[in-house]
Amino acid sequence: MKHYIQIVFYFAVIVIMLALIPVIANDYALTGIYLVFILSAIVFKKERSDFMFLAVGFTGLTFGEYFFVSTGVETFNRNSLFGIMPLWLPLLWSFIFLSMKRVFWLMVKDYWHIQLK
Amino acid sequence: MTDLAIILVLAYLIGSLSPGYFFGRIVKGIDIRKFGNHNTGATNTYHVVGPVYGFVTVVFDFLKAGMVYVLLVLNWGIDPNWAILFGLAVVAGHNWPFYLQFRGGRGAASLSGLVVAVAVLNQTWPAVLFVALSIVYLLVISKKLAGIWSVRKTLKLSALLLPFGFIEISSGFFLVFTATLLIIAVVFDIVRLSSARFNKKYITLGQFAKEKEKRRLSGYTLFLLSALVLFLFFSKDIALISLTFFIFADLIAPIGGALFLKKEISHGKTWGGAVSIVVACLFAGSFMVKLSSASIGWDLVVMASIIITVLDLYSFVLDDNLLVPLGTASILSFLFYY
Repeated sequence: MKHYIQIVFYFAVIVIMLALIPVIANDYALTGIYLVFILSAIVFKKERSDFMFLAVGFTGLTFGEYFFVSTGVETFNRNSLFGIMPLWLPLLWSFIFLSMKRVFWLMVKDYWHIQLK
Repeated sequence: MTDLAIILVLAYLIGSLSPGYFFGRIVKGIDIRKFGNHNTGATNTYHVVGPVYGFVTVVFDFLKAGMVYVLLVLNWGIDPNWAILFGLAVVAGHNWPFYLQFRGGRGAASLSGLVVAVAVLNQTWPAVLFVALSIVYLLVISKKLAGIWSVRKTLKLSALLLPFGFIEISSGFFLVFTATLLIIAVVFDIVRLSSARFNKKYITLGQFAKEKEKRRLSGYTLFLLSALVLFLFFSKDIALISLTFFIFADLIAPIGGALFLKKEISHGKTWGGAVSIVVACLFAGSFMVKLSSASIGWDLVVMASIIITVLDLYSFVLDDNLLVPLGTASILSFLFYY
């Protein structure tokens, strides 16, 4: 595993993002911080299909969470988006999707030595 | 404790009685292990010594572990789950007899006999686990079925954890677990489909992937999607039976199709496959009726077995991972709840 430091880094960033949730009570402030994380990720390292994964994570999991809430599987105390979920949640999922895609690619590069571009 | 140790040793000694080896010595004056597939099992005896001796060997090997199990449970009153260990000692004796330098058979007939005895006398969760693992072992060692059982099938079998975990352990946890697996599978599929080189490498992993998945979502993703939909929108009994039976059908149909009634019904589906689906579902259903907390009745089991078998024939219309479990659950809901 040549890229294990990068893989650990992506996991660490997600853990930090999750750790911020109870600390920052203002949904709008947390949304702004998450936007900074996402912009940093795509500005400092550009890869193919980044925006597609951000979009899939954003829209797919917004609908997914909506389904889960509507079927009573989960409920949110913080519901600044449409009154059902926190505003920052789709952004968190976007970043998780982007990170998962990059981690998959790092593992593929390690295992099969295939380059993304 | 001493009694149990003595029974264990006796079980091993009974198992180590290998008629195939003795037939080889007495009838042909040879060590059967030096010919054919180099073991003392019934198949080798059949080919090396003769059909009649092979038949006698298979009957003896089949009965010895099963009979020991039946005697221990019914006559000696030993706990049916503990008795499985003594049955396995018989199989161990068959596979590794001390007087043949620990080189015996592969235990296919002995283990099959034990599986049948356990399935009839003991319908508990440890017995289910034992039967499932034994079936996997038997499929793995079967040369006739080489190529049918794959890593993909093993993963499918392990997916039984999802419906049983959802019903018997924690529905909330397994719902989130299934959703998480689905998200990972979706991201993996998008990564794969967005890179031709990676996709090509993935498809060449024949044990994991199928050629038809080259341009679409993988079977794993569709299966997880079906599982999530079943957990969210269907009653527990129907979700459990639809998903469990689908897993069994998917695993058993190719094996049945390869072994008997090979005549094709449609699109590669055979009569052997269809019959084995019904039998496997009824067999699994007999455990579920007794064990599941989702109050499953025989009417549901029989209907589900028939519906799964019929829908499996139409899996050329839509991927079987979507059509069979969701179709079965929809029809069962219509029949039993509306």
